[in-house]
Amino acid sequence: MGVLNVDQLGYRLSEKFGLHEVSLRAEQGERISIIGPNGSGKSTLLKMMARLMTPHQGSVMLNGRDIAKMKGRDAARMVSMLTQIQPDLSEMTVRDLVQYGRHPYRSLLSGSTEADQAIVEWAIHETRLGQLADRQLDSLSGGERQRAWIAMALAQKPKVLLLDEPTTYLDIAHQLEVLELMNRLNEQLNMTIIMVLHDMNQAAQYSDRMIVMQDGSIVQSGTPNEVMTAEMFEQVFRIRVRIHQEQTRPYIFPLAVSSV
Amino acid sequence: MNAELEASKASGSSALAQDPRRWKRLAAIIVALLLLIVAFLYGMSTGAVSIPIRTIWAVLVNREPSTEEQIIWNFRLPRTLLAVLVGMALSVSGAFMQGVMRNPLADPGIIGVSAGAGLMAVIIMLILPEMIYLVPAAAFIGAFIAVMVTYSLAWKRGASPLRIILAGVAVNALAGAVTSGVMQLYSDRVQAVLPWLSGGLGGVSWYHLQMVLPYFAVASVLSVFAVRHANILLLGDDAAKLLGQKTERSRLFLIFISTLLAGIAVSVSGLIGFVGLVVPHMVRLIVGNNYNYLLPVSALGGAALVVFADTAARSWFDPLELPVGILLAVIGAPFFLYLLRRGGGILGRT
Repeated sequence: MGVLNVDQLGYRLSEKFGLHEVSLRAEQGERISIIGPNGSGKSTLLKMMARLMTPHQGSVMLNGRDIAKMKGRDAARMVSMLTQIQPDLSEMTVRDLVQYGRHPYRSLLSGSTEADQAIVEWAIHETRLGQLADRQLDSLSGGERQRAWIAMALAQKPKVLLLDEPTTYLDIAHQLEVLELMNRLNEQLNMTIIMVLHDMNQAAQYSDRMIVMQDGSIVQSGTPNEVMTAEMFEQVFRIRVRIHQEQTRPYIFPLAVSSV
Repeated sequence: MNAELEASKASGSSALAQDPRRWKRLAAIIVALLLLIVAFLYGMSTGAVSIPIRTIWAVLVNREPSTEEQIIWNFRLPRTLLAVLVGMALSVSGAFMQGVMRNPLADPGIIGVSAGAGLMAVIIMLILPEMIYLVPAAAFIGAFIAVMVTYSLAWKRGASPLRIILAGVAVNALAGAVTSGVMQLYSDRVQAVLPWLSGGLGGVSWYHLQMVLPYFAVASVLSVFAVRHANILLLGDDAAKLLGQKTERSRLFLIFISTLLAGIAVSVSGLIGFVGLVVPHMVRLIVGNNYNYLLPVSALGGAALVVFADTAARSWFDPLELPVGILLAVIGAPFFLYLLRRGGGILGRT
């Protein structure tokens, strides 16, 4: 039994879009990337694992408990997610935001304890935001703001962290910074990391396992070397690629849209 | 935990010590409190008869029978206290509504509070004038019914702010149309409802204060509990849900408190506009979105504004008494335009 078990998830939004019998299992400490074309259901799957959407069929189990039956705050102590779009919170400081991460641990009237503060400072430190802790969010760069939201998720002390395209809109240095942060959290805290990524090469480099989705179903799952094949790119993404090896990881060079 | 404590030490001193907004917030609370005290004294001493502050003090402490004692005890004190209460209720109500709707233009009117209260009050005053004593209760109930209708119309697997606002537009239009219809039918009596519709505190007494005080006490306690809900909704629905918050429930709770407060204000003072919109809006520019500060400063500032405006409305144009709602709108509208032109910084960008 893994930390996260997704069993036969079904969801139907319209004729064209839904999830069909999606099952996956994530072990504690695993790094998983989900790839797939636009509209293949990656974000929907992620949102269901984070309780942001309710599936029509099937279940999501966290440590053996059905999240549909868990209290919100109990689930929030185990899983958190970095969503694709964050609201604009102009005047809030980094520390204000990160403190929200302790919300699931507070009771009705209790304030922030010293232990809460220590965890907040730890999350700020881990995300290298120490110098910026008292800056307001609107004075930060996109990458810094992204890290502030990750710090908030960290303050929840989750066992599983889900990220929906965490590198979109960031320049290459900030992209690597976010991905390396995920590696660190994974190594130091044995945190399970599941992310939706658009960059195949980054997905291959920063995950233990890759999951490929197409039309609402999981079509492949395996190590980057198993998944990143010319046939897969031909069938799922309709592109022709050349595949190279960099150390032990595959990386692709896209050639052209395949002519069907 | 050790690593966390070390990290805590490494990143410097504690959170509060270096927060750059701390002084601004503290100053805002003190200034708002001073404004309220000044407005209160102004309200107690100004009117058709001027009464020096020293006399007010003597009257309140000794209560020796005199003309001043009559004026202060029977008229100015209950009226000023009610102005405080109405100002607090309207601005706190507006502050919650702007947060719930994630919209700086929101006030309780947007979900039908004023339209519902107005309709019920007009029906009583025009169709059943012998039951005029029921107007406060009817306005209060009308406000609640309108909000319930708005909320249920907006419900479709949850009630998003946008759907609530759109449903509110419909409810406002409908209630407004019926109100106009009733006023057309009873056009000979319309004179009687005009002061109420523009809002004012003329003729209030201890009776009115006693009537609304229990509700106000309940709403105040609930408001304290609501702060955390309002703060977490600032993050948006997704982030709040990820933190384990039941966002629909929080939103409904805040809408309830907001309606309760606005209903209290409407029941004693009629349709006073702009306070619920402008006060929290302005306070937000100074202290930010955090309801721990936004709420108390709005409450104090709103109270100061209504006390001041009510005093001005009854004394500047003596012997005429202007409905305070009109005065507030005349001050409020240009000020609001100024805020809009200045732009920026309110619940994100506008």
